[in-house]
Amino acid sequence: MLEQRGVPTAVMGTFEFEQLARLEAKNRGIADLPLALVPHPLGGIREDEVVRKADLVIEAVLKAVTRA
Amino acid sequence: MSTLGPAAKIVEFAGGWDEIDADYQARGWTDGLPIVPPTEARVREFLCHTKRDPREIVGVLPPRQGEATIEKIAANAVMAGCKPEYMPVILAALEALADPLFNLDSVQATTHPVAPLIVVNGPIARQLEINGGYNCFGQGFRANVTIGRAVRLVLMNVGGGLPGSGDRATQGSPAKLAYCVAENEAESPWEPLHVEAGFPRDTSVVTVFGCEGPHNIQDHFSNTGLGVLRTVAGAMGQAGSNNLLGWGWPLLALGPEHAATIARDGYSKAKVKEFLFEHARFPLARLGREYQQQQIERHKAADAPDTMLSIVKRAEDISVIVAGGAGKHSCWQPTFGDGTHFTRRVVER
Repeated sequence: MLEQRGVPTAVMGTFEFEQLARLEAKNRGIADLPLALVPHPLGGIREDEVVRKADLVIEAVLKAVTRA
Repeated sequence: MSTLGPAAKIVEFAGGWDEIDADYQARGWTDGLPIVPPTEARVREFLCHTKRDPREIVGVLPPRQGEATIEKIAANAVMAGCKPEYMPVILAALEALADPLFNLDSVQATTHPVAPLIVVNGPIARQLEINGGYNCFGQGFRANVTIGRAVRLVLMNVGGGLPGSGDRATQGSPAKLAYCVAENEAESPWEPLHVEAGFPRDTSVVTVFGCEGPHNIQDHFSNTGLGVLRTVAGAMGQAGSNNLLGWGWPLLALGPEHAATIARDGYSKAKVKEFLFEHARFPLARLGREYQQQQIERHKAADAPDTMLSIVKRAEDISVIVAGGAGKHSCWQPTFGDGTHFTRRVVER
């Protein structure tokens, strides 16, 4: 919805939910919505793992929210 | 004028029921149970129970953004084993589910075991024999089971809430098969749910909640309203529910005997809600440190040894109905949390 309002958006999630995310994006007419995905899970992980997973997608997130 | 959707497709079969059911199973058009074939004649019969155009879109259902037309809903109602006269209740329930306030997007796709509970009030509940008495959340009553199943089939076949793809429930719940109940208005000492909301008693109203299956609350010992309410509060103020995680609009379904004891001792519905708001709480100190941290940061809970966490923001966020037969049991339904609000629609005939 934010994307459709012209707000560059990066959706973060895990590969476990990639299929659902792509399905929802496609059905809402934004099939090319950038997804920043990391290995599952996001919840219940220690801080060092949070940082490690963030490092994996930081470039993709920056690219998504700064694109023209 | 209402928006019209595409006409339903007609599929021709050479064989009999065995072939038809096998094909529906193979295509994933069922909840796992056998279906009643939605022949043109049967669907037409169901369409007689609404004045609306068969192609009228009742709601656009996520995650597929499927257009739930009257005709497609009728086909799924036939498949579920409904009687044609159940149609108005099914339509009202689906309209309520498609209300943005309900947030069907999340309810369909979440890992939480949330199911749409359809609560029916007013004369139509009695006319259709929707059970609000003994075993009302259980088996044995065609209207309860098939109306609930029809809504589930629409959510799957039109909305795309398919396990593992559009429906990512970690474990799910038996409530996701069929979840429909009438309020036991005859044995309620208070105004029923729809009257509380401002409708005349003789208006038929469907209210849908995005909630878990029933959690039993047994109290055979208390003979005062206060005693019963303490037990109820103890059951509702538990760790692990989404309401403790993030508030929302939980439901309490009091058995008639518990309700009578509570009302006899002077509690109105509003007083019941106030009591539960104050007492259905869980001690912060009994949670693990990470969960405590979440409560402190997200809910601004005081980081103190005597902090008690509430399951709702306000007393009126708790809904109360009376349901069931004789016995000292009640139940409560934790909801999805603050992401889904109950919604309601008048049943149009």
